[in-house]
Amino acid sequence: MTEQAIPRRPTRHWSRALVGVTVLVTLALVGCQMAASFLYNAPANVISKAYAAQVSWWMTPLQMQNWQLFAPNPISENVEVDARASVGPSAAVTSWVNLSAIDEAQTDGDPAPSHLTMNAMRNAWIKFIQTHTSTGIPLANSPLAGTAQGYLENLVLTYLRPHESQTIDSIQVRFVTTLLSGEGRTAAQTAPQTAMMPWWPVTQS
Amino acid sequence: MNRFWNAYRRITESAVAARGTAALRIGYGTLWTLYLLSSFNERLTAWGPNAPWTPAMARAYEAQIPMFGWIRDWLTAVAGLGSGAFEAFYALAVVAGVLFALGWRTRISSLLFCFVVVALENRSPLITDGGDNVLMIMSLFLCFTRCGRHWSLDARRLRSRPTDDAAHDAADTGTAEVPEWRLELRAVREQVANVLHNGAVLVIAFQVCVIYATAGLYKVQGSMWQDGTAMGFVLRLHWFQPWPALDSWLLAHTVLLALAGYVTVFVQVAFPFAVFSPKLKYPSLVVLAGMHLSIAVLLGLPFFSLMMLVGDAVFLSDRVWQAVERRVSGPAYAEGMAGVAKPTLVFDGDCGFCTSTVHWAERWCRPAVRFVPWQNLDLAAHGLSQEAVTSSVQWLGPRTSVTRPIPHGSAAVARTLLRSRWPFRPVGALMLVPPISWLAELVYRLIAKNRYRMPGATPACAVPAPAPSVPATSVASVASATSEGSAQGAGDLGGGPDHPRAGAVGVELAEGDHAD
Repeated sequence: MTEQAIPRRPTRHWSRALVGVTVLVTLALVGCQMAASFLYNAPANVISKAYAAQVSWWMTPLQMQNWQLFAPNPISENVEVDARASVGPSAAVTSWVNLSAIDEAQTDGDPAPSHLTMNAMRNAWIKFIQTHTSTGIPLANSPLAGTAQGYLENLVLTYLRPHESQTIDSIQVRFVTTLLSGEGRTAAQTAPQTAMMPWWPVTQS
Repeated sequence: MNRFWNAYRRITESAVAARGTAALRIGYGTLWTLYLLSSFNERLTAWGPNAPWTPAMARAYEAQIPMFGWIRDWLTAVAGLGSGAFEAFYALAVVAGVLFALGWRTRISSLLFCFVVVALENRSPLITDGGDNVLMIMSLFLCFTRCGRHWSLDARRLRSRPTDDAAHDAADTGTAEVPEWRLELRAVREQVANVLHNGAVLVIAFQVCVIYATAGLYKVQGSMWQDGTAMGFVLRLHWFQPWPALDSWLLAHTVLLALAGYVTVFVQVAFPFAVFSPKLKYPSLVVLAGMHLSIAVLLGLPFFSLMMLVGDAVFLSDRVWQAVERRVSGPAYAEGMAGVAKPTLVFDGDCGFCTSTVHWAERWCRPAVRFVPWQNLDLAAHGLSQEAVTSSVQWLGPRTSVTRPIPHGSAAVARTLLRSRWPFRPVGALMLVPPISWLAELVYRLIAKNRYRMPGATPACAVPAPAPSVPATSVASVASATSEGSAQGAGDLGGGPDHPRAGAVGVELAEGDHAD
């Protein structure tokens, strides 16, 4: 086949040198890439700590990645995100809406659930608890706390708005966490725990 | 020293895994397109100007990470778009996926693909999962590969063009139209492209290894993976539970789950080493494929699983891909059948749907089978009755004796598929095995009964008459009868009238049709 036939080799000095330099540069880049990729992904160690700045320069932002999938231990609790709203001129408070149940109903029996139902609320919750205390106070050293709260607010509103005819003035979110039963876990530990967030006013757009 | 130069030649003069990277291109391009199409209804909530992750948040988020200005502009490209521009971008993203999968001007389309994937995925980083992550990284690496050399529009274009060898020969004999320096430049370009490609393939393979190895290394540290209870927790998470009934069934089998957990961890940790041995590589890939399919179904993450499966394809050697290539596009069964009389499939030439199905089969299945409309056939000579040929397709194989019944209907279709090129052959085999064969027959009858209501090409003897014994006049009369009498044809239900085109019978049947 023609693909196997070698068309022609470069014959001049300059062109052969060019190819040679390309080989050297490529080898160097591939070496750096492999080292950086390994150090970035592997469990933290002496080398990755020593070269943290260089590794991060090489890998972020285009190659950011995280493969700690269900590891070291999988999450072993179920989280239910509930929300309620204060609506209308009388500021009437609605009953709690189980937002997770809405997602689960969507996912149930769907061979290809959408990214929004599968990932949006989970990631919003993770980002929020990473940047806030259990009572919803922003952590002092997290510059993204405001962003995480704003995202959770907006996301919650996309769930509430279709069911609410009146204007939503403020919302409240609570996380009901249930530790899954397992060896060495008492009934008291596996009882649902509720973390109540403060009321957040909704900026009308 | 000799070994060094051999390695140098391999790097500069050949492109390793050229077919593997083509598989990655087709896989990722197709998955991306399907992802966008399946997300079409919620595209505005996911990435639009009014998405919960507002443009301001996207910018604030990217501002936390130090990066070059042009990369920042790239990652926030979609955040700045108004609704009209966003729709245009979404359309562009779909087009980029299609062009990349098809391999149209692959150098350009791979850059375009990488651009749209990274831009759109970073518009809403909080709805992404591992699959999006893999796709972003791979789209970047694939820009450096020659993933368009096989199975692409580029490859087709190059094949149809006079080869470069001609220009070469011309250069060698001194009658060159092409100046020498251009040939030299072309040779340099070829080698530089090979070098970049080979480097990128190594990086892609390493990336896949790193994913498995780190996923495994972290699991080894976890007490739940050690004591074998991890899977029992994962399957109880409401976040990932599209089939709760299936999960509760599996949860009852704790030993099985512990075993599955251990196999997963072992194969993941061992994968970077297994790839160096074919004896270990292919079994590992099979186990990983099983793992991904389980994740796809049990955890509701099909896109993530498919992205990983496509990435695994880079480890299949060019030899394996060539075998697949031969199977799919090769002369198939026809070669083995050389010298043996071709079997004949007798179909209804009056039916537009049947005719276009035959055209389709000839184009795509390429079976070693003759298709003959019964109108062009001496029925009695082949032991066929008018009733039989009007109710279903008939199979005239070389071994059909008078005593054996003639295969017809779905059995005849199955035999045709058995003699087609590769992807259709197993389908044909399956269609002959009960209980699938019963189901196939049921479906066949349903279609055959309603064949005149189905869309199709100009009916009838558009297929060239293969039987020279048929007088030309009778073919002409069949054709004219069809063109005049499509209304009558609509009444021909295949219920077995002796002369379906005789006016009275046709009308009668048409009335019966109305009565239904």
